[in-house]
Amino acid sequence: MVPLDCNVMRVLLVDDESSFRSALAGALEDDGHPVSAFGSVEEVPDLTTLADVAVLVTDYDLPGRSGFDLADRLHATFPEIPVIVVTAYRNETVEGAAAIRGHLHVLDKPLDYETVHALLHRLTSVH
Amino acid sequence: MATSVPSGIPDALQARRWQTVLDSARDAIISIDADGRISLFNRAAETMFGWRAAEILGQNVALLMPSPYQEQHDDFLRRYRETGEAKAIGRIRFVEAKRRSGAVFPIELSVSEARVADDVVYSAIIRDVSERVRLQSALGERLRQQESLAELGVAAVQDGSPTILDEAARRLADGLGTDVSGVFERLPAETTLRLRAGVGWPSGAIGSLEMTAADTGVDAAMTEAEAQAPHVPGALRDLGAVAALSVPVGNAEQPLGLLVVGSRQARVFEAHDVAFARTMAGLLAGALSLEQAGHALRRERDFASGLVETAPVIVTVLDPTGHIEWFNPHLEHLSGRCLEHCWGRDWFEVFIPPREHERARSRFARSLAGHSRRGTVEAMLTRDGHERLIQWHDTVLPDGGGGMRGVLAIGLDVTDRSRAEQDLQQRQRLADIGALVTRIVHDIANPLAGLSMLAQRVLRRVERAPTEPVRSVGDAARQMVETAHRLERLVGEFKDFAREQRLHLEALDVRRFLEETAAFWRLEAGARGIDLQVQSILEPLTLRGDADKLRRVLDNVIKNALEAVGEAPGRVRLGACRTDGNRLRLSVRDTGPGVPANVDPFSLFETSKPSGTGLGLPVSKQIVLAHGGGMTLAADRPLGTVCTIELPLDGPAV
Repeated sequence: MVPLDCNVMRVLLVDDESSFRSALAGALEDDGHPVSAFGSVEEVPDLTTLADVAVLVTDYDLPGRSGFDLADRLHATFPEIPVIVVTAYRNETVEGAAAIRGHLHVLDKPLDYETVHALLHRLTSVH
Repeated sequence: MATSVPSGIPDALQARRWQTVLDSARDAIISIDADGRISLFNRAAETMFGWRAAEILGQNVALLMPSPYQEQHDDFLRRYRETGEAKAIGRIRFVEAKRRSGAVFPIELSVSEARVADDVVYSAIIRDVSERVRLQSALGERLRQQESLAELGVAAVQDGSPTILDEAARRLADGLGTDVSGVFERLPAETTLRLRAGVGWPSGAIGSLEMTAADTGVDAAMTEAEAQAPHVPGALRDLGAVAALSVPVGNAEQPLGLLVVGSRQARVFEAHDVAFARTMAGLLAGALSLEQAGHALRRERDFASGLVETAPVIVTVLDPTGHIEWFNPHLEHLSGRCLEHCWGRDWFEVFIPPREHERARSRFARSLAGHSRRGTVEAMLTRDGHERLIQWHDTVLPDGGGGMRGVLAIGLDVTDRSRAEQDLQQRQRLADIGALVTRIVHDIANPLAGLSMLAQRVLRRVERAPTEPVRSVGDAARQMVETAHRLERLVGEFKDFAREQRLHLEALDVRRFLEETAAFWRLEAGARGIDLQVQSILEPLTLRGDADKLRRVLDNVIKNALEAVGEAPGRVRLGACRTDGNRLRLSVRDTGPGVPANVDPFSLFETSKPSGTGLGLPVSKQIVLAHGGGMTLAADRPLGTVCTIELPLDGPAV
């Protein structure tokens, strides 16, 4: 594992809405961030092969396992990777699940690219 | 790894922040492991269940459940592990839980499952809904009580027979859900009361059991205070009653008797219980005075004058052509119309709203033909132009020669009850729509997020290389981003609507609340040339309410008022006053063109504005209803619209 420059971090992006996934991946790539994008938790390969991932951006409501499941799986191996959960409908289940885990950032969809970008920056460059 | 955070510290920091979030949650949050052992128990859970986290961590969660779930829970968990067949996971269920004290209470439960490495964690979010359940059952009880009164009222007026007492005793016990009830008659010129009818007494007691006035718990003046802080008369204590309610029958100086109910379980008689017993006593007083007056009185023209002067039901006699022969003081009181002025006039012209004339007349004709009206609810007009809803029971009065001399109609004012029912229905409907909106919002928000992100990306690309050929593409992208933003705002409004209306009550200074809200809008009002003022409030008023939500209501109403006035110079006035002793009336008046007649401003998606979503007022009304209040919009005089919001000053009733 090589520490990445904070401006060049690999983003693991999981969202089943293909237009959103490709647009956000494209915009991040325009800014020079490599992105690995998937449509469901099940499609994400063994996490150890994604060792250069610096941040996870995942939808909450996915077909099959939820974004929280993926966050839990990721944190079991890499507890320090920041996670941003995006959701089209924030309800008490989402807030409760986020509260139980504590260290997640929840953003509402639709979202502003600048917001995601700023948050990614903050999460990976403050230290 | 891509982070330089020193290991150790963030865990501790995260744990603390996590704990803070958990502890500030209003719902109980409890996690268990695969074997059902509690691994997390937040502060709200401590309050709800009465256990300290330190005491209960590691124990089986079944401890928090009443039988039979307590015994079955381990099996549920095992079956779920083996078959994946979930009973609780992934849905909201209404079940019961058990406090440390052993008290069982209703909850709303949602359980989720998470896997951390190879371990399973089940987490439950639990909300105590006992208050909601109590409210619903109290409302149901009140409706039953009123039905009971209406039926007894009919019986009381139609025949003063002795069975009326048995009837009253039975309905009294049913209506209040008690074990014992009794109708005591005061023996003339004595201080003794004799049991004339009752429920729950040993055989032989009825007709012979006596108690002294001193033991009734009701003093000579029979004051209301006595009924509120009941004393259990010895005769009821002997039957095991530990709580009682006594209400005099007839006027306080010369009571005819006493109605008594007793409960073997400890209970508090609420204000509506006392009102119910008192109304029943009023009906009985009417029936008893009728009985004492004798049959001769009932037969002839004088029938009406001896009848139920005191009963809190409407009694009216119409001749076969629908003209008023007589009605009782209760109708005078309710309608503001004197019998003297109405005698001989057409009932329908005086009391029925014009739109209902035809229907009411045809129903009257049916009554005359022998199809008596039982329990139909109709609108009745009062002198000051208001409408009351009356539930009617008709009886044809025979003339003794095989014909008829008119119709006796008994009416019960059910306006408040209908309003309560409608409000409940409306809340239910809004909740259903909320669920639907949730789904739609979810389905729209996802593709919209994609669309919006695509447009933003195009715009960023174009802005980085602003050469001539791509400029028009940039304009198109900008328009797409703006359109997407507009849709996002719309989706946001829907989300607001669908969000549950849970109130966080606090004491609000009404004057300050209005002043602050007005100050916020004054800039926009000024820009439109509109004069926005808070009218002087005569007394200091404190309201128990949810500041944020009520602020949204006022914002909505003021925004509507400003938009109604438009750009023309005009006025918007906010006012507040106390009504009915315990209610607050807020008003927002504007000098705009008024509400179009064909629009119901409170129905969903109705709007008279070109850019409105039609959600503002329904959402506002939903909030006001949740506070136990009401909201109306009406034409103001001489011009404009007035929006009136009424709220109980003490907050929603429990």
